[in-house]
Amino acid sequence: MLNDNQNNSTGWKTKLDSLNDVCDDTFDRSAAWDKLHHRLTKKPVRKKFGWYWAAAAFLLLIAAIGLLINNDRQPPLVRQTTQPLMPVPARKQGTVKQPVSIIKIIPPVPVESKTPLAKKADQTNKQKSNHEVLPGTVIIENLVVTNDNLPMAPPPLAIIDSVPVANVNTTKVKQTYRVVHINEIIKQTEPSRVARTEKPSFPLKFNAKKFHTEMPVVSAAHSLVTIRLSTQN
Amino acid sequence: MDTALLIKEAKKGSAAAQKCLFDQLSGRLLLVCRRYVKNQEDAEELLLDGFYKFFKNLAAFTYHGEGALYNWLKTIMVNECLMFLRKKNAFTIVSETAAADVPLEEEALNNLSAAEIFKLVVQLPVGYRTVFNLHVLEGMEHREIASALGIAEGTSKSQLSKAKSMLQKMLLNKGTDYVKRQSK
Repeated sequence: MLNDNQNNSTGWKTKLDSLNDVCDDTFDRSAAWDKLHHRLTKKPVRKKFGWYWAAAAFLLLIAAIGLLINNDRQPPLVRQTTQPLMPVPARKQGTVKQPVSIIKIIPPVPVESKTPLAKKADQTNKQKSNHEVLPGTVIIENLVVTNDNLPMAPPPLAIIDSVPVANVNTTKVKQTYRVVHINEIIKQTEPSRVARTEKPSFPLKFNAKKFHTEMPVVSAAHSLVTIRLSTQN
Repeated sequence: MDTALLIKEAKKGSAAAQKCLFDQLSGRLLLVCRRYVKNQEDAEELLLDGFYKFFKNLAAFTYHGEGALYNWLKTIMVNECLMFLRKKNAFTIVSETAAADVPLEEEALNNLSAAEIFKLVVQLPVGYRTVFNLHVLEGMEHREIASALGIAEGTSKSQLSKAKSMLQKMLLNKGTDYVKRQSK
């Protein structure tokens, strides 16, 4: 039965394949060939490079560069020092171990007028000891202290265990100046109110003789000037 | 002109050789397209698409006789038609339960001429026609048809049985002519 079906179908197939002139009345071969030839000879249109893709890539590149530069400029706020942790003593029975933080605050060094030579010496010292703690920094160290060592257990401080040592740089506070009216400055610098420490002196001629005089302090009460003669010069 | 020589010249880009090949094969191949696509203009367009692909990929073709050349071209045309039908989403889906195996009087079909068979097949709806063409005329299995058309295997079977029943009805309608021919 299956063979019969296959034979029949192959029969139809050969019959249909041998068909040539069923649709020939409507099919214009030459026109179809012209169409096909035109398509075959037509140069393939090159797709224009997408400018939007180029622009997007350019923008991405700029953004990436900007991010890189920003990352380089911003220093890390908290640095982890490479200092090794203090060795933890062996646990003893009956002792209570509590992590305690010791905070050292190094006061900032007062600004002094140093000579250039002294400043240079300071700089060389700084270069030699880079690991030295800068003034104005807070050092937190994580320690384990037993009860034996401490007479009184200090209150435990909340610390972050993952950060054993952290140097926190204190930022310099900007100096603020008081706004002063110009009249106040003028009043302060008036010559009458300024206390003179040096006695003014001027040359004086008297009877064809030259004298060097010393001016005494002028008192505000009376405007008399007393002249004391001296034999100088 | 010898087909092998025509292929050789067409590979070099000779328009005359290409035209000869087109004239030689286009008629039969247009019928293949018409079996799948009812509309004459669509069929012609698909024929041109198929020939365009054939000439573009001719360098990869090795000539093993006229039969091989025709089969290759026919495969290209069938694929073009299936792509076209898939794009149009032209397949009507019939549920498997509704499909019943309909015996077809194949002797009756054998007695018909090729042109008559062609006219009957073309009258089938697109889904039936496609599955009928692929299964009966191209010899494809239902599994292959299902994957080619993107339908279920059962749908392919049901479409085929529907196509056969419809052909049966058409043959009955043409009964008078058929009886006349039998008596002769």
